[in-house]
Amino acid sequence: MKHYDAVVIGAGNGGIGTALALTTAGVKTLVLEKHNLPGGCATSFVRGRFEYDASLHAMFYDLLFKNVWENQFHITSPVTRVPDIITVAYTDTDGKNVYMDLPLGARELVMAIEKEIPGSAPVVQQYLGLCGEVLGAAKFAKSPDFTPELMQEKFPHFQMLMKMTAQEVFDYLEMPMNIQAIFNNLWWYLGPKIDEFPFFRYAPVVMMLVTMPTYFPNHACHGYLAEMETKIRENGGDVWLNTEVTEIVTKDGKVCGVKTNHGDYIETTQVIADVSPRIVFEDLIKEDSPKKQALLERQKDITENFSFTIVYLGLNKSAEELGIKAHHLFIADAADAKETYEASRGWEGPYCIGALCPNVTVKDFSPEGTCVLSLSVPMLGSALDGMTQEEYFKAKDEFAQKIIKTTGEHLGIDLFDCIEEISIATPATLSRYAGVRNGALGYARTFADIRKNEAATAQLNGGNPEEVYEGLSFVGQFAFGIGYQTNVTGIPVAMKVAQTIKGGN
Amino acid sequence: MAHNIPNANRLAKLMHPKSQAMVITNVKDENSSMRTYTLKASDDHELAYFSAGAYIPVILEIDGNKIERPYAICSSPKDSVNGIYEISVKRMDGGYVSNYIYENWAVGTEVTLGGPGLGDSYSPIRDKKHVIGIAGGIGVTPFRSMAKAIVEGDVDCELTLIYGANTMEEVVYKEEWKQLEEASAGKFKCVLVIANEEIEGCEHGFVSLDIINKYHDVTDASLFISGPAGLVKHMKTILAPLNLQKRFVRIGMGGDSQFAPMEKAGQDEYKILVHMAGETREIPAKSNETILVALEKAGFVPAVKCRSGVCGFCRSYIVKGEITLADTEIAVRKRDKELGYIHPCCTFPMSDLEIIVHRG
Repeated sequence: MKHYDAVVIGAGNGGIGTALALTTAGVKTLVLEKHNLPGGCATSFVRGRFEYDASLHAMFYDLLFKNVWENQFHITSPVTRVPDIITVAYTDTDGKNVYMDLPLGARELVMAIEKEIPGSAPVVQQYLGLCGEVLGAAKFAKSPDFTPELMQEKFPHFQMLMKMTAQEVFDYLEMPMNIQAIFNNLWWYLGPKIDEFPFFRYAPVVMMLVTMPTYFPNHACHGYLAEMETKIRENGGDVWLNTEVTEIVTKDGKVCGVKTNHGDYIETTQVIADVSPRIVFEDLIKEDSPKKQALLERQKDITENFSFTIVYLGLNKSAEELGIKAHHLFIADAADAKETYEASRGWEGPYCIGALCPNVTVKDFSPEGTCVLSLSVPMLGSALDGMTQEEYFKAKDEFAQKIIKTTGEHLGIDLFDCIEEISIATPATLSRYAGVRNGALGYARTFADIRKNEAATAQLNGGNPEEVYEGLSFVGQFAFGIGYQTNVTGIPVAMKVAQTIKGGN
Repeated sequence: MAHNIPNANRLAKLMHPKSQAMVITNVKDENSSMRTYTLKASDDHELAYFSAGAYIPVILEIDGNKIERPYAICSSPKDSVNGIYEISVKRMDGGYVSNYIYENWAVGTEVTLGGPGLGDSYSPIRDKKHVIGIAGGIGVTPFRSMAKAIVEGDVDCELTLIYGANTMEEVVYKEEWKQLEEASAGKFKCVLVIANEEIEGCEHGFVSLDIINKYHDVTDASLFISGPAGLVKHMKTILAPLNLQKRFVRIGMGGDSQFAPMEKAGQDEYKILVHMAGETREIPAKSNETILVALEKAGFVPAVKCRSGVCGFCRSYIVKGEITLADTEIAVRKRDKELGYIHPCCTFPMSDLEIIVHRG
């Protein structure tokens, strides 16, 4: 019988980061992953001459990763700074296609938008000002100089903004829809309806995107995941791929081991699940108890996030030849994000497309004279309800045609003329890779769901033996929210587990 | 998940089953060395759907060892909706698996298949409206699926199949090609190219640009090439001067190809220290056999799918030692190469090795 101090279920972006922290702290750790690769959604795949990143657009490297990666994990996988330009292309309220290449930096952005839309400078400036207030206030709240009076003086709108949705702030400023379009079609980066999304979550990301450098890993996410996989083993940990956990064995409310689909039984008192808690309580913990039911019901009460359909294109022309200037291209068939949000329930438009061309940043991301263009369209997993396999295959291809057509129209490029490779991922694909219901990436980001999610995670990782299973903690996007920071947000959990083990519990 | 599984998850499970329990309902001798087997679900499960041209793994247990091999599905996607798959197996000299199948599969035999997914299929976005298929040997099997799918309306393209064989006896699906042509309203044509015999209604010799152009302009089509290494090499040679875009030349998987190492090793035999999920064992390896073959001979059942270097499913880690790759196109990621990850199906030992592999 095998014994490990800690077992990490799921070698996703969160599980791998947590396992690396555990092994760095000297904990004898086993990572079990049902896929044949680490990373979950944070992975890459090869088709023909092209390697695609499955899901990453860009990382706030300095803010979220640099310190941990360089000082704690000693990661050497290179990242390259994304150039300070974004492309925004949308259909305005008159049905006209608008295209802008915009510089980043708050002042530069205001001036550039004013050039495209004369008269817009004041409202754009005000908007960025309010975004900046939220970001600044959050930072100031943690400062030793904080007092409520100073807070009110420095950030006079903060109290009001904390209660408003992203849409309400646009309305408060009376920002025309065609200017809203520049900012509000970013909704898919974060969550659902713009009129349900808390401004205090939206604003920091807008501000960060506009003012902070982002980075892209030279070898896609797999580059750093593979390095972390290697380091876990070098630290004395083990990573077993193609191994699915089928049961978390508990006794008297405590974790005592895990079973796998290969018939393994691994003895352990600490399990860290990079798995949706709902799946853990519904499928992996077999006992029927009020404790389990309560924890399960709490998870069911939180709304699932949306998923994506992603069209990955390997193009046989370079980004320069095609006139693609930006790493991020934000494309929308409607100025009003509420319309594109509604469309994400199904396969029809108006579409909101997050296009990505990593070659703009990493010049040799694909062979010379080629480039990669991936097109991400938010889509609820329920858009697949009722489909047969045959219908699904057809729907996928038809959808891809439409997405490529609309992207090409907005960018002024004949994409169909240069497609050498094409792959399509849908919520079904994501449900398989990330082992999640409906391909949903974490929980929805409304006020209510964020609060419920945070409270539920605090309970799960809080260790109250009356309410939770002792020795079971959670990391990853269902615990801490969607985004690549899952790679580091599990570290406090790892440290707590390491403490517990060293304490001889 | 037994309780309300979302349809997205249900579809994913259906499309990518770990195994499908099947039973053989028909065996047809296509000629003296190729047989077509019809299989239906032995437990009434819904068959995994696929795009014409897909391969499906056959999962066997021979002498106590679990072995997996991919075969092209030669029936159509619509056939799978109607509950059957068909695969054709060619008996190869010294072929471990093909001979086993020939000797053991009969009507009523229970067979385990995996999920379809390898191989290439028609993409209306990437490919031209007209496809020229160049086939030889067992490589012709996916084109039967494609031609059927065209007739059944599931693939919207035209197909000219240039099918080469040494003798007429070697040609398979003879009657079916004619039937499919008739039913296709001009969308499908099969041209037989017989090397060693002069036969009326067939071309004579080897596939050449002249022969192809007689039926369709080779520069105005997507080429799908599927056949033995010799055919692929020949086609690459004759196509080279045309400088066709990579996009329009798709080369089939090849199946269980006989690879050769790129570099010659110093010794004939080496030792490999293998770690697999907590088991550690030292095994012998030959310098002219892939690491995968060494693992399988020693009784390991590692994760493996295409056996051709392209799918990445067998990704493993070299802790210590030198290796050389096979002389074929291998899809190992750049970063994986840097860090020491390889695909054992197309990698040969050049020294004693220590490796970490994963279970199948």
